[in-house]
Amino acid sequence: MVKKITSIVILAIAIVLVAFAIANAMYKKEKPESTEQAADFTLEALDGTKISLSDFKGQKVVLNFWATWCPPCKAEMPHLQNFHENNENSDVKLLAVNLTASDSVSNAVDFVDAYELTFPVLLDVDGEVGQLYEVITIPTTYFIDEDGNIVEKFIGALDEETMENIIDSY
Amino acid sequence: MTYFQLFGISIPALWIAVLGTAFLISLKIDDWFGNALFIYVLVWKFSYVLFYWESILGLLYFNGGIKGHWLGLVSSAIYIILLAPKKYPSIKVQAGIVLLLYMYTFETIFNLLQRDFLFTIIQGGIACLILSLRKKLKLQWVILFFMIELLTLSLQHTLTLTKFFTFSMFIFISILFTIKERTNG
Repeated sequence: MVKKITSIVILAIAIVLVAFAIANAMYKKEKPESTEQAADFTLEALDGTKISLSDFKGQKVVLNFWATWCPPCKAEMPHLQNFHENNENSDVKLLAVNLTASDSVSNAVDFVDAYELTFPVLLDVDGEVGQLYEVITIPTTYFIDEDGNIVEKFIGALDEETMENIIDSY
Repeated sequence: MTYFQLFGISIPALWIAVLGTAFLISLKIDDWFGNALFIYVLVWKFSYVLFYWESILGLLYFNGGIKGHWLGLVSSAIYIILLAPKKYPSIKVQAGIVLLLYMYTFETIFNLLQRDFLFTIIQGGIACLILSLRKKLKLQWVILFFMIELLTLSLQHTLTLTKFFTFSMFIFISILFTIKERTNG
């Protein structure tokens, strides 16, 4: 009996160690998956200022696309606001692009007031940026790294915890 | 690949691995396993209202997150340890191996989804080894395989605290049933 246990222990540990040795020898750490550069754009924010994505080089950017008529967008807004407040003093920037081409400025203003949003809300009046980022289902959220690469494209409502997890992963 | 885009939304690879493993295991195991999983999912999902009660709409889209995970895990553990054995006597022989196997099968599928084929083979290989030993699984072996899993995860640098405590809970239940089974004869 003891002999048998011993042999199984050795077998199991051997599987792990041999495989690990092979791994170390064979695969040199691949570069992180091929990344795509986030296209730059300039849009006017609700408060009238012009904001470009390239203004935030060196910072992680969370780029959220939404509209006032979309229920999951409504659901995630309190989470976005919390996320924004928690990251105000760090190198993470939240930008929310309103798909104004299929929405309206006055709706967006009311919405931002109702949810007391303090992060920049950009108005995609011509729908060009939405098209550029291939936003079909909303909400869609892009996570962009310090060098402007797209790290993750998340479709669907995001909660605070998931956002923090994705931001921490790169 | 952390997320898969299915049905027009992003689905975490983690969920696919958790449910895929549960499906495979439920094929061979009595209903107590499915019940425990159901309790876990229910508590995990609806515990959202405990933490974000001010935005009820979110319940449609969100879940209890990490806190919900712990609540769900504790709820199913209570069910498995205290309630299920009366109705499903088979749990006494099944629980020990099922939880051990769950760990390895989950890691196999998760690594496959992440396209880490080396660790898919390691985890899958050990899962098969456990399966072949299922008739003679003794306490020492449960602990041993748990240690081997921890060793494997450390080598891969994927041993997070959440994973460590979750698996520890699995092993705790596993050991509990292994000891009970032995003292009963």
